Amino acid sequence: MLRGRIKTIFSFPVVLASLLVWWLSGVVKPGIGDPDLWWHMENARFLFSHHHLPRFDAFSYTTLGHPWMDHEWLAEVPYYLAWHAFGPVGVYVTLIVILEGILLGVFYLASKGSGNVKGAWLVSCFCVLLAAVSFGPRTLLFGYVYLLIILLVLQQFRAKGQAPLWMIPIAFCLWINSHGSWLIGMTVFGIIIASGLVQGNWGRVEAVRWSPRQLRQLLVTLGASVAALFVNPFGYHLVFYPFDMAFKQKLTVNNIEEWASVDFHDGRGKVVLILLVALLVGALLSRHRWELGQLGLAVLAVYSGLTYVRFLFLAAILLAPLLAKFLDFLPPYRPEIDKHWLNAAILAGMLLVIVARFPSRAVLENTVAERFPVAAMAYIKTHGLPGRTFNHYMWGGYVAWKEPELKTFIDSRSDIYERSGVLADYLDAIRMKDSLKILDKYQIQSVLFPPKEALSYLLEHNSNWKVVYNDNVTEIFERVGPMPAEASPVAATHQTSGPKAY
Amino acid sequence: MGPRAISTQSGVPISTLPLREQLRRLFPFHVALAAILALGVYIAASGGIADPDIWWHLENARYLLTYHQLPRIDTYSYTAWINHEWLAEVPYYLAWQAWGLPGVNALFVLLLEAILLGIFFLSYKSSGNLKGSWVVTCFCVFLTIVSFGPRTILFGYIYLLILLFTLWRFRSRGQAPLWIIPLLFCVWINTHGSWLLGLIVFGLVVASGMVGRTWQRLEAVRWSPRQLRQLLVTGAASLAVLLVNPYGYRLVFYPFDLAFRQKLNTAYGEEWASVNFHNAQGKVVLLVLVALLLGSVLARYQWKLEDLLLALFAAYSALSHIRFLVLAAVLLAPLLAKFLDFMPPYRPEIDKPLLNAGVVALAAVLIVKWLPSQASLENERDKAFPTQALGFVMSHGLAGERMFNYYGWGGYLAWAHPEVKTFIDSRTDIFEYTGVLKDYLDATGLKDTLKVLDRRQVQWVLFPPRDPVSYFLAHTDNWRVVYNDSVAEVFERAGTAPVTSSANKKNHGADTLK
Repeated sequence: MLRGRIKTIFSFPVVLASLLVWWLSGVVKPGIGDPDLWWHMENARFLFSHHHLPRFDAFSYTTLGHPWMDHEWLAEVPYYLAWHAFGPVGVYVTLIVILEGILLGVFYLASKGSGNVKGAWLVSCFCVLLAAVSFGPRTLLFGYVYLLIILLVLQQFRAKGQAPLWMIPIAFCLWINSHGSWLIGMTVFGIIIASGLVQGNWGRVEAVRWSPRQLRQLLVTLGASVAALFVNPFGYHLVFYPFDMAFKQKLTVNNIEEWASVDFHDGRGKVVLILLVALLVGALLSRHRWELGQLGLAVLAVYSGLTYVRFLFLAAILLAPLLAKFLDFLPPYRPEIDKHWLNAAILAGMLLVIVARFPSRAVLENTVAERFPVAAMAYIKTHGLPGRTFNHYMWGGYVAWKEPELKTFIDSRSDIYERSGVLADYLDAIRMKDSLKILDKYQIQSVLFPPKEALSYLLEHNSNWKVVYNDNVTEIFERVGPMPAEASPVAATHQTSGPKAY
Repeated sequence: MGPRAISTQSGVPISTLPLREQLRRLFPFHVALAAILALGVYIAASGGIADPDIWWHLENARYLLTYHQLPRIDTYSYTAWINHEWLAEVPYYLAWQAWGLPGVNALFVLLLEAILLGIFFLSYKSSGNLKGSWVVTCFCVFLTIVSFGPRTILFGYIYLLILLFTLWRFRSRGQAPLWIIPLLFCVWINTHGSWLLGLIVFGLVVASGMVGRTWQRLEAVRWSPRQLRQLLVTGAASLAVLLVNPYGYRLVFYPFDLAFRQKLNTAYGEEWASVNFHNAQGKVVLLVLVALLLGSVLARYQWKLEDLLLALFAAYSALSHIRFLVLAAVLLAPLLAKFLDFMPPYRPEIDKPLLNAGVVALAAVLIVKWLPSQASLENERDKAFPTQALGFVMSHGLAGERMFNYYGWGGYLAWAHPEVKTFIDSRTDIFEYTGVLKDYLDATGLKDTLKVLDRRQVQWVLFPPRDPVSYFLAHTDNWRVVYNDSVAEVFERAGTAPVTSSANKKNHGADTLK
């Protein structure tokens, strides 16, 4: 019995898994410098301090008191607790654990789906490169964990005719409270159900119809999953949030980096090119017959991944089982020739390397200092800032976390700022479209911005502004002289107009 | 129904046939489809005269026809320069000389029509699927929009179509006039740097016949020894004729120079950008990718190795650089048409020649009716280029002073007012070699803008009003707006430029491409 367990623990697939863990930990750059992390943790701090969710904006002066929905509240809690317990190291450990969990899940899903452990491993290693776009303490990562659970359950259901489908509504209930990507999960679920509504063969594609009992079970699960979406603190508002994002938050989607489409000039683009080539070549050369659901998921993955780089990780998860099937020419795993002692030694070696390379608190703090105005905040603490501050979009969350009493112009929540028109003004200001008028309009007295930005260059060469602080990361400008007479206070953006608190 | 169904080559002169038969042969359904396609292309191409490059191309051709030699030195920086597209400039200039802007417009529309009709013809010939080819070619119009304008690269695509058609014929019939190919490359290298794409395509087609094997849905058919010999001789002759140009080996190396040395050009040039899947063009590309994926698993068509190689090359080129979306259209259309084999075939017996003739006539009438006038083209030009601002510049004596101009306007300035020496134009290559492009990008990206203007001793700036540079200069102390309209603003230095630095002198040395 014990011997059997040891054989399982020190088997070749486990060694492959450990190599994947090692590869991922090598690719992930040490750091927790995500701009969203800070306001997520501030929200969680609010939750634990006040025992209810924040329902109005408290970070900025531009939308102070505006109703706001903390739509990722559940995913914020683990990061905050990790920070609370171990500081930046805690956040980094949480990030690494979730990432490793997802990639190991991709490996497991691809192995199970293809029956090809070596192919699944190769594909999972490749997926690490696609996933790199989401390497950071992101709430979206929880969404991918739920997606993997759903895919594993559905894969088992398809293969064996039965599976714990009850997990799916629970996953959706957790998902909607963690991240808006639940809609992608629902789309995936819908594609898989729809692919079994027909039976037939078309070229290399085949569809196998669900049995009436299976279909009934799936539809009940779907109904329960939709119902479970409403188990959240914001009711239908949270259910509609992804649609609001897709159809109403155009500025966010068009201007925020991770919503951009793939740039084939950079390294990531080359990886996507390889993926596309693999799909086409695999479709032509592989003996594998495609299931209709796989084809649907592949099209969804290609569309999502190409259009929005943030969904390249999604593409990796959806395509990994298919790509692993293409590698069916690799020799299969043969347990009888496994070398368990060698495997154990490799596992120990991997573990040692991972532990030895784990970044210290100082290293993590340094990565924060390289991306956020850490030193400038010290200056602000001692010297203060006069009046309202116009800050860089990426820094708003950090300022809100470090100095909650210093109200910001904007932070990376974007939704609330797009609705109130602040995001449009911000974008105009940094793009030299009436920049100075916008600063006047909001009665800005100081500006907190990186040194090499166009706005910084403009202010450096405008006689109404002077640099009062600068380092490698930050410049602080202060207005010289009084506010122009024609500058009108932006009262409109301070009204708590529109919908009431969510 | 195979392509031969439309043949009018019966040996009997058409004029001796009865009128109904004459109509049937002159106006089959194919011609009606081609006419609708031509009309669609014509409508889509309207308004594309305002290309920033056309002006310096015209100026080069004027120089050539005036002095009977190619310009070899940039007249502003006195740096050696290769006019690598000289042969394509001549037709545009002659069209200009004969009919002005309408002439240039007519020439580029004709080239576009030839390309799209060529795609239709090639797709039809290689797939034997008339309706599928038409649907695919109409779709390709959306891919080709990126090159709608009086561009020299259009000639390159025509050569590519001729090359592909010759190779298709050689592959399908075992013989074809391969001697055309070296001639083509000889003309091509003197017309546009895209000859390298043609050579790659030729190489891929030749390589695809080096093996004979079937892998699942892919098959490779080996060339016969005689065919291979013919192709290798053609390839060698094509390589040799590349040296038949006024610049010798330097022109042959030019595309490599562009790819490996002109990093700023390819990184910042709009048409070198990667596909943006958020815009309409990106959605079209996405559809093509999905069509390729679906075609690979759903269609009955057995892919050939050359299909796969050309598809991968097309996908790589077009996804990485939007300027090659036309290349993708040319290379992928025949394959995509083969996927549409479920469409009902053309049936000559139910053809309506009179209706077809009516469609052709209507398309011709509409094209003639919508021919743009000189005035409307000038109006279009005036919306894109600083024609009025230049009037101000000339009347206020700024022409002799050093200026900093918008990149897209340099060619027009050189053409309309050769006496105004520009800072930069859209030739790009020479400006990258000399460091001018880097300075331009730094200045327009608001990185040391004022330092660049000082170092280059710029006295006035000509830029669009809504550009960040214009906003910046309007809000700094040392510059003032002296002219503005909806297209351009002219800024003049308030006071004198700081003493020149040595950096500026560097660009006056012919230190590159001797």
